[in-house]
Amino acid sequence: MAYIELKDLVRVYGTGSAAVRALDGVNLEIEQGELCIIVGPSGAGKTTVLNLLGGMDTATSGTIEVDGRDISHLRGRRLTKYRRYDIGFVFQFYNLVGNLTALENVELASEICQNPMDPGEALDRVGLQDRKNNFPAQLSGGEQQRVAIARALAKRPKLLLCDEPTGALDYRTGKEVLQLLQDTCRKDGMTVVIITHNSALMPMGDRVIQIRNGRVSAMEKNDHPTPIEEIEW
Amino acid sequence: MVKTLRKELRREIRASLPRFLSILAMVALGVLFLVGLRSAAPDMRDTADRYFDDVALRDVEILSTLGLTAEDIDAFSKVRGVETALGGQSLDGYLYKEETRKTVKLLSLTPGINSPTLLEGRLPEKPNECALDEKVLTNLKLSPGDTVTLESGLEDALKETAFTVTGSVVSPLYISLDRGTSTLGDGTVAGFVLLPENAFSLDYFTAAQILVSGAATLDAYGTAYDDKIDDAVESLEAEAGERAALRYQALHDDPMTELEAAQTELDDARLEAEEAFAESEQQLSDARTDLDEGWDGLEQAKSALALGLMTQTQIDELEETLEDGEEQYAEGLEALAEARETAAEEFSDAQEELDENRELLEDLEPAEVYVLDRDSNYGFVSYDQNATRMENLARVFPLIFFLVAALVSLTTMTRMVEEERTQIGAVKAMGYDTAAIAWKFLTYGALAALAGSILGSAIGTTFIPWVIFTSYGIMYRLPALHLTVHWGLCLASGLTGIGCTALATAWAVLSTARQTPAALLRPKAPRAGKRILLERIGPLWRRMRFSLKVSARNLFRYKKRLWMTVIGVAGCTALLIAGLGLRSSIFGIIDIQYGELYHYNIQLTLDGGTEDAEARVEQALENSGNLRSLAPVRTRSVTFRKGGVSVDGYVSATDRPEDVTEQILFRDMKTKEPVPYPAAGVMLDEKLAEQLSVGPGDTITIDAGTPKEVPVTAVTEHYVYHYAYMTAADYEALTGEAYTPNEYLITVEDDSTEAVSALCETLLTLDGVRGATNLPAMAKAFRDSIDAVDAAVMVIVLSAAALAFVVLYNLTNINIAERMRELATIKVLGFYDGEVAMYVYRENLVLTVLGILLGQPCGKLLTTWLVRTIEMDVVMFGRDARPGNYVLSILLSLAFAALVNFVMFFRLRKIDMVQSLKSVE
Repeated sequence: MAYIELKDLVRVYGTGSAAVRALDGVNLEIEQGELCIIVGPSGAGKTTVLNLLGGMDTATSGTIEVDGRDISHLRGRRLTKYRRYDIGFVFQFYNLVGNLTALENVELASEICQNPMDPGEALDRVGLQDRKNNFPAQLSGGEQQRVAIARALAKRPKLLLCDEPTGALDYRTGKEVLQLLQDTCRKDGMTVVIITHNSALMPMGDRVIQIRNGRVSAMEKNDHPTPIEEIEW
Repeated sequence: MVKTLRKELRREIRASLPRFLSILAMVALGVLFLVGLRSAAPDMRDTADRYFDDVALRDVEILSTLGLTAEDIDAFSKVRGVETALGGQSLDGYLYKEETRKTVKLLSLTPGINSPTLLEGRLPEKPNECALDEKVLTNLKLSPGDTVTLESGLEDALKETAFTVTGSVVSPLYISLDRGTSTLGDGTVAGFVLLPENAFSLDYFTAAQILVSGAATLDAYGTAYDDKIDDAVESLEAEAGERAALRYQALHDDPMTELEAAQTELDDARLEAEEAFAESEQQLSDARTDLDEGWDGLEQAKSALALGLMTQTQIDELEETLEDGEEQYAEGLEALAEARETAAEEFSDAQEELDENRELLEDLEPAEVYVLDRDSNYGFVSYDQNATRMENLARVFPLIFFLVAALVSLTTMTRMVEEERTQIGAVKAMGYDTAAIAWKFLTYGALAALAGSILGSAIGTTFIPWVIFTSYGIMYRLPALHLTVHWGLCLASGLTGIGCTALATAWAVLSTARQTPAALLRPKAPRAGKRILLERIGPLWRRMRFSLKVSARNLFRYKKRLWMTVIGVAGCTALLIAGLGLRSSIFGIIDIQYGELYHYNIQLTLDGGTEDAEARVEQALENSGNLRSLAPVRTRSVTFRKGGVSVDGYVSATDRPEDVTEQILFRDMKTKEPVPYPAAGVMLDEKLAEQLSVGPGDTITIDAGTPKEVPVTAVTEHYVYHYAYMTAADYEALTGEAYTPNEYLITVEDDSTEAVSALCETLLTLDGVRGATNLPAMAKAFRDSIDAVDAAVMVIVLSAAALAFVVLYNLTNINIAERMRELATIKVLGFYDGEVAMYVYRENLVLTVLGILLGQPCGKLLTTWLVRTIEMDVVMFGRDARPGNYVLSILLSLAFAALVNFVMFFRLRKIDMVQSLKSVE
């Protein structure tokens, strides 16, 4: 059995005639320690998959198994607990707390974990040892995204979920961030899921899942992922 | 405006309904209280005015100590300005129901004037029927059909003694609970009894009830009415003076003339009789002489017999004649003496009768006539005072609401503009100008304010006057409230509300809308985080928990919100302190004045002028066995002046200061140290000193006929009415009249209600005693008069609560909206609901506590201001703050904050992480 398994996942927004089936029976699997790229055009439902996987939303039907545990029926405090201990999130727009320094933003996450990484160490890992005491406004976009990644990593999650992590970054910085994510996967054995609309990134993943109209249109394992530096777009 | 922009505005309102409603609610609250409190007084007065017109409450009443005749009444009705004048009876008397005796006012029905309202039964018609004051009927548990015994204080004023109760009534003469005082019984009047005119056996009227023509169309509490009545009173006073002279003439001068004539007649008769007697005496004396001569003749005749000139027979005859004459003479003497005696008796009887009548007439004082307007009616006046108090309250209080409404609108609209920044940029890029953009926001704000104004006016015009009137209804017997829509007031309040909002909106929108489209389309750089001062204190900062550090930073980051919340909470706390403080200030003084300062149990007033009244009173008190101590004083109403200020009050003088200080505690208001009775100069009560802005060492003018300068030597704590205390000697110098006590302050040994009222009753039977009031009754009367202020206080406390809730809710709402993204982020990070809430609450708590702290001094100031606004001229409300009020205000503010935060908890729980994080703000 795979580390992550989504079965017949359906998510319907709204009711009656206004109902929209964002996910219409998604089935997919991801193995532990894989870097998984989920691609698809806008509105295909990839973010919905990520939100359901990350415990930010709940499925209408179907099951989500993570590390042998079905999380699709979790609600309220138990769902929060799942996010708290098992999930690390990286967003397109970083979502750092503007009033906290880089270090404090990481502390914000490590404060609530049982076995967190040292916040300083987490920032060291993403190469921001010199910018620890800067506020987000004093950091570049790439630096802010690194802080966000450090914040996610500091929780030592089972799963690192990234929603268009390079969407707001320029080409070069985007590459740096992707490199960081790939390194995290390789060195720490972290399971990383990256959502992107950029199909050029497909070769970098251990597993590539394509989503179209709320269904998985293709899922393939890539035994020889391309290093980031060799990918151009 | 462009159609699309209008459509967008409509949708905007629908989409942001909570925000729209929050502005609406704030304006509605402001308008509600402004319109409500300002409408209350006019509505109250209007309701009373309509009632008085409906039942034709007398405009003027004329009372005369010698009574009024039908001709007097007729004369009054012909005075210019008088519409109707009716004669009637108004006497004090007793009502007995089995063993219970109540002092009552016996009133005759005056058709067309002072019409009573029947609550039950019918009005009395026969001489042995009466209708009872509803208060009496209820108190004595009587019902129509029962029989009661009535007794007039004036002998033989009533034809019957047993009366059948025909119904229960309320009278416009007694709209308040107060029924006045009497010299009968223990002095307290329990109520009135209505009798038909034919129940009275008096051949004169005791009162005239008068309606002034054209007065009914005027507002009974307005100045036009006062002016009209003043004119009528002036004419009536002149007429009444003349009529009183005539009445005195009829009762005194004419009988006196008749009496003198009778006296003359009597004297003449006596003289005539004397003459007649003298004549008879003369005749008798002549007869004597004749007889004596006869006897002499007889002697000569006897000599002649010896000479033989006369016969024995002749002599015998002569002797016999003389004997007869002697007999007749004796009879005559006896008859004269008898006649003399009878005449003397008759004359002295007649003289006695004349003397008696003369004495009666000589004792008859000239008539004292009182021409009274409605200001002599306690209910009429106190009702007006209460309305005025509401007016004072309404003067500034609602402004606080408008201030807060403007502040909240400002924050809300600023937030709205910030949220729509990009959209403003887009619209501007399309070519709309700043005015068009500002139009949307201004219209949004103005529409909310307009809706709020309409809602506020509607509720304010109806609900608030109703609440206030209903609470006054406990004390005043009036028909249902007559509501008037005060359009001008609603319009002014609405415009103020709309103006405040529009200004706040303009302020918020213009700074943004003026920027270039390019700048607007770029997302606003998130506010940079900053190090705060606290971080410089390394040891402290390092020891703080992480969550505390975050809160501290956030607090100082959003300075505007910090101040808004702090001010909002401070305002609420201050209002609560003011409301509670007002209440304790008002009711506290009853305990202080009648519990701490006044030690005496009975205040006895003397008529003045009745000889030996003092000795009798003091003797009676000694004999009662219930006297602990007493003090004689003389009080007199005067006018105090200083600078341009003039205040009416009393001077109270005594020749036994050491006794007075046993009855009244004089002390310093602040230090509570006793103040000695002044040996010279006057001691003023605190409020009087305050109103005249004087203190010990200053001089004031006291006008008791002729104004005189008097030095102020002391000031004492005192709350009810104005008094200046002085010595008897100073009193005589001031007024030029001799000092004789006209009041006694009496402390008893046994202060139980029965003992005190028994003593009062005894004292009232004494000649020269006018009235006796016991202290609990005075305290109760005063409490009744201010009870309705409680309603105002409730309005304040409730409004403070509403204000606190709306402000806190709005600010917390904005707080959450502004930080939606941040809150969603920490939710994604896995903060539990409780932790997310605490993340927000910690800041709210700090702000609330800061607000509460700031609210304390504000509350103290507001209380002082409010107390001074509401208090009447003759009363000083307590100035001391009670610690309990502050504690309570803190607890209540915390409770409101907790309530708001509790409601917010559900909003926080509902934050949609997915939506909130979707795009850049």
